[in-house]
Amino acid sequence: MLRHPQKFTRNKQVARDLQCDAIQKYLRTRLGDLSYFGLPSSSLEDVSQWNPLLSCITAVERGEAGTEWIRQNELLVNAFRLGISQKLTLLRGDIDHILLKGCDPYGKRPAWPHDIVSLDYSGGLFYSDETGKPTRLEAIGNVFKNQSEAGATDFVFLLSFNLHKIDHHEIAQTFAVIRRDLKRTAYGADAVLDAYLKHDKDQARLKIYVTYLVDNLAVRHNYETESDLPAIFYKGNQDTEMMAFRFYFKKSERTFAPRRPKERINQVINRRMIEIVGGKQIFTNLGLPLIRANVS
Amino acid sequence: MTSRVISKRDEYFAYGSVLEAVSQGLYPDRKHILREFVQNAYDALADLKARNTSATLEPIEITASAPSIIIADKGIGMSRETMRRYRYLGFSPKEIGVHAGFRGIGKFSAISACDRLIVRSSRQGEAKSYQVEIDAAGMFTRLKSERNPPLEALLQEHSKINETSEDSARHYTVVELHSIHEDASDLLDLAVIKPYLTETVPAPFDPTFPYGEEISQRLRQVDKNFLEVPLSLNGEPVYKRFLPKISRPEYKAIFAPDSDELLAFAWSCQNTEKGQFLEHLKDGKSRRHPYSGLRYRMANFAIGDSTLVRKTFWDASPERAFYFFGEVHVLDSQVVPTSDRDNFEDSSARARLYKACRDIAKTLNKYAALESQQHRFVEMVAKGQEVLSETEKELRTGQVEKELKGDKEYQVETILQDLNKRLKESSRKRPNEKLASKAKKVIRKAEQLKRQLRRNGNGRVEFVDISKELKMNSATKALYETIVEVLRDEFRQEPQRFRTVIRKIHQALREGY
Repeated sequence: MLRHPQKFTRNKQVARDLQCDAIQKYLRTRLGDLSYFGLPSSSLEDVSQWNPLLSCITAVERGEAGTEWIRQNELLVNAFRLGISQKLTLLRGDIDHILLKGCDPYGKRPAWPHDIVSLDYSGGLFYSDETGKPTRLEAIGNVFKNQSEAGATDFVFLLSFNLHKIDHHEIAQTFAVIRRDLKRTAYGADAVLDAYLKHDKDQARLKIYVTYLVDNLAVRHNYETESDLPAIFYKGNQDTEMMAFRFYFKKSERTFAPRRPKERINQVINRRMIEIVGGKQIFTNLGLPLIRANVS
Repeated sequence: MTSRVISKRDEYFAYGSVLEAVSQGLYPDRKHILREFVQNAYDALADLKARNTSATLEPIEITASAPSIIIADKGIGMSRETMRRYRYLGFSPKEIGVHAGFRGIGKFSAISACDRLIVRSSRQGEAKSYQVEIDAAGMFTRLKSERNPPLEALLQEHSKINETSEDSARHYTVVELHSIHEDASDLLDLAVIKPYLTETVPAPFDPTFPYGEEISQRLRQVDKNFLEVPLSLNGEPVYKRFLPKISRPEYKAIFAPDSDELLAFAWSCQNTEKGQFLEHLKDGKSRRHPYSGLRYRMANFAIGDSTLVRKTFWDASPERAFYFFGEVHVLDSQVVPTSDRDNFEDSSARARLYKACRDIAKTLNKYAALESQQHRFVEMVAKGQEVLSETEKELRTGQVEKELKGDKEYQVETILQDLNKRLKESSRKRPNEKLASKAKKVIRKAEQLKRQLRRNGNGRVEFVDISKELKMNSATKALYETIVEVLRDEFRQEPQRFRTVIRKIHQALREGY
């Protein structure tokens, strides 16, 4: 069945609008001439809505194993139906493989840099390849590497994924690092982090984990993430729990790799997240305690 | 003796190898597969235009990028029934003379070039879209593994159709030839398919072609079905090419003998430089330009190349066919193109067309002859001007030997006569004001020089007189003049050598006399 655009759930539409707000806020001087790279899905939902903002679209579509061409064909048909085929380039295959190898199975390479990188994964964040290697996180790192090498001075990075198959061990390890980092700068950080670790909702921990992860990957490529945009949680199709993050990447003016400010972690922990329910936004800290900066 | 009909249930009359013949044998040149699908897109746009004459036609989009080639149009689209029949072999609802394609086999040419053919279409006004998928790889695997699979089963079991809802205002067809085979990789090579498309499909003229709009307008007046369809290849527009340095287009309508039936309409532009259009190559050589010559077109699709026109109606001076570039639009619906569009099917209609088209060659040969004369005239004026200037300079500086006076007079007289003759001819056949005025200027100069040469006695022009200079006695002078006469006679055909010899004699005499 051909999947047509404009079939978002109400919650997903709100999340998409929040992402669009971030694009319009941070890239307002280049609207209409933006280059997009990402996973728009074969229905081209997001890019069809953002089409007036975009001049160039690089879409990655893997398709179902064994019948890959079906979804890929759908994407091409939809691009033509919607009148965006002339600005669209399709890369076929798994996005993680493309990001790691630099090209799709047919040798086509994305033309870095891009103004918007939207990794709207249909699966979870902790996807591993057949050898158990967590390729997705490495692939995300390659986005920033490619952007940096191609001279991107700033861009918006959008990340969304479902909450399936969460790697709790990886999160716990990251929390241990955060705990160590916060020891000197925050008061009562241990208790707050314990509360997060014990909380029954994964989105609580992911709010901190993803932001910390992206910030650290950004720093490696001399980027600073400037964002006061809260993490988003919502239930999508078939009640799948989803999270969406928005980051604005800006090249650091420092000549050496910038260090991540410790106080930023405090802000991330204390920032309420948005939960979208029935198409309405609710700001919540999920009943978790706030962290206090160490005054001394 | 009585006879009875023998019938057998489940008896099949066509088998899989037919498919191989149709798919692989139809177009040995794989580029024709692309034309086949562009033709379908063209027909869909033509049908849309026929339904709504004010409709703006959106470009046919071709995207060639491994592993696929995609041909997409926003024509009228296909209905459920048409899509169902899309899987049929040799079935076409189209009509000869109305549509560019009509046999219903062309689409199967694609199955030998790719693993699968995916077609999605939505017809204007229908709230559905349909997808046909032909599993070409599956068919050929079966053909290899099974002996004589029935054609019916092969087509049925390896193709499917599904439907989905669609906005009834949307109408389109998107064809994807997926997983193009290595031996058909030309279809993904822009350096191969772009020139092919520019020569073959009914794209508009290049906007920089100064006569493009004029020609299109004339073609629209002559043929109510004439259609140019915008087309893009990987986002770049495709246009019909043209050659530079050309004359204004000439038009010629070709009628059936003894009737008003219009068989064809031709337009052509002539090379304004001498002879055939040439392409200058990097190695300094040049060759006949590949775009030169005339091409047949039917429904604005090219039929054959420029050699077909030359072969079919350019009996006399065939090289002159390439002094022009242009098109012969065939309007006679009884003339049917061959499947690969390399020619027309052999028929009495074709014979009538070719015969009638001889008129085009006759007319254009006449133009070519006139143009050649004109070029010769231009060369003559230039040469005359050069010779006269040189002579004038020599006379002014007193460098002309007395022995050469007669030759100079002859030279000037020849220029005068030739130019006058050409000027007269030119004004009668093909007047060219600018050239005529230039020629008249040269004629005036020649007349002036002629008078000067004759006025030698009055001392206006001084010649080098070696007998006077060396104070030859009468006997020596007579001997010298005899020798000069002999030499003049000897070098009558070579005035330049005569002049050199005289100058050498003068030098020798001065040094040794």
